[in-house]
Amino acid sequence: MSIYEFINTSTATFDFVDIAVSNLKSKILKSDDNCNDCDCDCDCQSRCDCQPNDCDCMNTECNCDCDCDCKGYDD
Amino acid sequence: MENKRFAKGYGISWLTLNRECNMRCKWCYGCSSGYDTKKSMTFEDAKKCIDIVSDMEIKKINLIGGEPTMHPNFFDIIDYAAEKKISCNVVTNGLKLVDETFFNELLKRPNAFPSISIKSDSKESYISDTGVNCWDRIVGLIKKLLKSNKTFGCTYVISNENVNKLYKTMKTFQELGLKNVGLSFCYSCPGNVMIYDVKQYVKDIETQLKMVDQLSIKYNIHFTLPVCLWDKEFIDNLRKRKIISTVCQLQQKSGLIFDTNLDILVCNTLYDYPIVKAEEYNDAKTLTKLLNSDKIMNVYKDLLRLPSKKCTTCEYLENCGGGCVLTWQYLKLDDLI
Repeated sequence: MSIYEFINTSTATFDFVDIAVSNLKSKILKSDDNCNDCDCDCDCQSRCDCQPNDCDCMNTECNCDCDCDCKGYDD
Repeated sequence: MENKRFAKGYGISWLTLNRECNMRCKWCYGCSSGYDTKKSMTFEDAKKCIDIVSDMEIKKINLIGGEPTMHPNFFDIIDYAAEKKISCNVVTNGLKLVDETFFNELLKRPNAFPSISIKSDSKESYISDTGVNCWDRIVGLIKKLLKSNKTFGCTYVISNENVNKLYKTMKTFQELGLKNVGLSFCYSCPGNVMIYDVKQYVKDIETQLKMVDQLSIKYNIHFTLPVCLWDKEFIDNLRKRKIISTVCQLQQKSGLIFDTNLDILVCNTLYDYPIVKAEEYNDAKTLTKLLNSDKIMNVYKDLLRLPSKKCTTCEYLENCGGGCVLTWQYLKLDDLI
């Protein structure tokens, strides 16, 4: 089906405003306060899964390339 | 601010490996596909997608379905992505991972990260919500993952039906040993309206999350309803704690979603409305040109129309964009404000 079959049934009819939307909140939430070395700067809300040298952003919508030099944290 | 377009190194990709699934979740956006077992991406097509993703310098793909772990070439696809140095988030209900052999095969793949979509919080509700009696097995899987050194995530979808037990659910997750859960709102999609009383839903979430905040388990929550519907103090609190996310790949024009037949979708739920057909492109160059064409950009302009003139003067416009476009198939903003 054409995408316009979907569009034409929408109640959102006000004109498009050409803006670049961005996430309301940016920095990765650190999973533990003991992790101080994570310098991930991705524009994402997901937590930084601080494992030594194995930081990865778990947000499926994030396009970051986290390269955390984290020392991990104590349980 | 200039509107971003599809560009190298910008964006994230989804590969829809299949439509078949070993559960039948009430809120599933894929329900109208009939979970057709014939709709399955071939291995050759999956490699083509990964080649394109690699050429576009996108470094992460989400493997989705249906249930992607059921795909016959599931591990071959992950291994091919590894050759291209691409990591794979596996969006899964976890049922296949209960099998020890399968689980160990996933552990061997350092570029694969399971994101377990936990459907409910008890045996009875798993049966009611998914049709499968598997709560004990999912609990066993989570405990196994926690003991392993595999990075993984857990997510939970909040619908009108389960919102009032959100605190109880998160407490159960905490007791399982989970430290953080990704929360999201249920999608309403063509044929399946799952948030039918928005005002009540908003009130219930605000109430429940205030209770969840008394627990030690942490969460981050992705908002798809317009920001203006929420109590400002509530939003500011989530913002201060850095646990709220808004806008989606469609609004940011950053997502590259391949359907099982390689048609391109604007949104995972809109699989009946592809914007580019598979036969229209061959490689990253022709696809990028198409995605940046006036024709496709005009589709996005029409999709992203605002629900109200009030949006244009809203302080949250750039961070909300009027909310998820799916919402405006079933609701009118005037009824809500």
